[in-house]
Amino acid sequence: MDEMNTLWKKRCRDNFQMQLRYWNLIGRNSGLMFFIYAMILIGGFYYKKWLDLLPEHFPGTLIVSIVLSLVCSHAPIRTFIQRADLVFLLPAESELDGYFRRSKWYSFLIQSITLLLVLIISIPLYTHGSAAYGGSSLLLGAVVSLAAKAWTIDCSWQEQFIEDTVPLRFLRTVLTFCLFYFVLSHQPLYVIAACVAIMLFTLFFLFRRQASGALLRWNSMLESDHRQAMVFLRFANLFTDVPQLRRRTRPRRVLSRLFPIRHFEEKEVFEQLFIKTFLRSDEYLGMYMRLTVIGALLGYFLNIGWYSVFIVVSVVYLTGLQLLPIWSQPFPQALAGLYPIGERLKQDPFVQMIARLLIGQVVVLSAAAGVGAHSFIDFLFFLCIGFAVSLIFAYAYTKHRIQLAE
Amino acid sequence: MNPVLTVKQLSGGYSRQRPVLHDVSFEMNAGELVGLVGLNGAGKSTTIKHILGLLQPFSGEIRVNGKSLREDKSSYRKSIAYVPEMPELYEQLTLEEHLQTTAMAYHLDKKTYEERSEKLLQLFHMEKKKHWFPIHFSKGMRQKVMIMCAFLIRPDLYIVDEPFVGLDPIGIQSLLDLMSDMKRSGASILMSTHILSTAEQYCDRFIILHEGHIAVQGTLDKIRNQFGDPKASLHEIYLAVARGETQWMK
Repeated sequence: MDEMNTLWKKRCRDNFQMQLRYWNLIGRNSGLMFFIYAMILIGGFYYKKWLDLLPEHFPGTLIVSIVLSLVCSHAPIRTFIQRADLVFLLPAESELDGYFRRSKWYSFLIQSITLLLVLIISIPLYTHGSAAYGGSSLLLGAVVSLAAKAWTIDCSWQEQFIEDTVPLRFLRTVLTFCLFYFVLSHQPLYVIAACVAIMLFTLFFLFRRQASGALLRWNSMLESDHRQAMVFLRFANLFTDVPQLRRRTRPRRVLSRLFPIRHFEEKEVFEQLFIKTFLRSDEYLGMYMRLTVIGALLGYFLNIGWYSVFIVVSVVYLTGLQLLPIWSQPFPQALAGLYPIGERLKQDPFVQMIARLLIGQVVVLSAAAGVGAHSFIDFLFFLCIGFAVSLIFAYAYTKHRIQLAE
Repeated sequence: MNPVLTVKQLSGGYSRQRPVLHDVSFEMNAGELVGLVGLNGAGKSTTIKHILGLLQPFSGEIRVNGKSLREDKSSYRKSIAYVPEMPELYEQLTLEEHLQTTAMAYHLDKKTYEERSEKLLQLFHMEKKKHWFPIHFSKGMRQKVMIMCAFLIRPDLYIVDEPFVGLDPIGIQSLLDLMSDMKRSGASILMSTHILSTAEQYCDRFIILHEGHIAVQGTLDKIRNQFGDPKASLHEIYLAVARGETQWMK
């Protein structure tokens, strides 16, 4: 159907333009971008150093095969399906073949780029173990990667019809791993041919057979597409506010009980709201814990003396940035918008909460870095600088940002 | 007696180029339940948004207990409770926490909060769902949460926008009983609705909006007399207005 193809093209273009707009905003927020560049450069440097240190018999081929097969097997189909389609496109399901074919191609192309990038990064690890023929192994790897990806995408599409996909996904991951491993470890041709034959066999006699006659699972397809869209939006959300982030909520009953209402007064309204938002919605709490743990581990193990203060400061800065969206969490107009409460009673609790969270993190990070360095003086030093940065972030930067947002 | 709500020559809407409301004036006294009736797009929700202060009037003024929003924001807001047409809840708060935050925001003391919330929860059969999150609620249950939040604070003026849609029969009856109670204790209620039979039974007065103008307002008897048929139902009068049969109004 022509209209369906036009619809697909329109949605793809809309998605592209939406992403472009966010990239534009991300580009402007240079602070975090710079941090990411720095991480890439430092990462590259340490990667090379690490490669030089590897022992002769390091199982590079095995690790590269595992990494490639995992990346290759993650193959969700980007359908650009929307919630309303469950009502409006459902009757036209039989005419959507062309639409979904485009989706498969699109997913294949986009995911191939990621896969090839991973391949390029992991080639040094692979050639390190098996002499230097970088060029030819890159070409070979690229061909195998693309073939495996195409096969995976087709399997993944059949899974859209199948109820229980966990064993199937496991099976195709294992088969992909076998293919990569056989090719990269230079097994005889007939082994590789046998592997390919088994892959084609499973595709036609397992995946396609199970899928034929089954109904398309629109709901799971919608969820999957939503999840994929979220990956980008969450990333963009680190830099700027993304309004269409649909929030997920977890009860977190035990944790919530630690923050009961202490005074039954108006100044506690927004304090409660912000704390409950932090604890329950999206992944604020998860992000906070992850960054704290990563920072603590880095501080403890890197053990770079007083330079650890940079770890403390950058983790605190990153955490603070990611806490800011709590402010613009959509509060229902019928309730919060009409509360007879002054603006100050909304701003102050937010700034205080940011300050408290960051200070709590500083204590943990400084303790970890101090223990790593076996020095109480270091601990105090990290603590002081960390406190200063937290307070500046909360009372100067955050306050400024939310006043701008008003 | 001073009116609770005064709307005087209000013109407004979303953009000055295309105002939705034209010269709307009415008053509401204490203890009155007034029905706001009109077709989709007649301007009911716009009127409500203006009263709530979510939209700025282009001309005219709105006063609650004699004060405009600009004069005293806090007391203006405190005098109004709102039940919206589409229930809006905090996704991250439980039912009980909704009631608590509302109570705190409107300066209720803890004892009053506990008494009132317990009664409301019983009335709407929601006691067992106190610790649930809105994501597990149906439209009707969400609507009940909004109603409970509004009736928890007992303000002078209730603005209730199309409250019956999605409510179960017991919910509807509880809401009607609550409104009668509040009316008796001196509160005014402005209710927008399409359910005319219920409105006819419960409302003291009606305001019929048509294309942004007040087509006719008054008690049902007064409107009937003007219409020229003392037995006409609100439904018939409303349809006549909607069809543009307006010669009887002049």
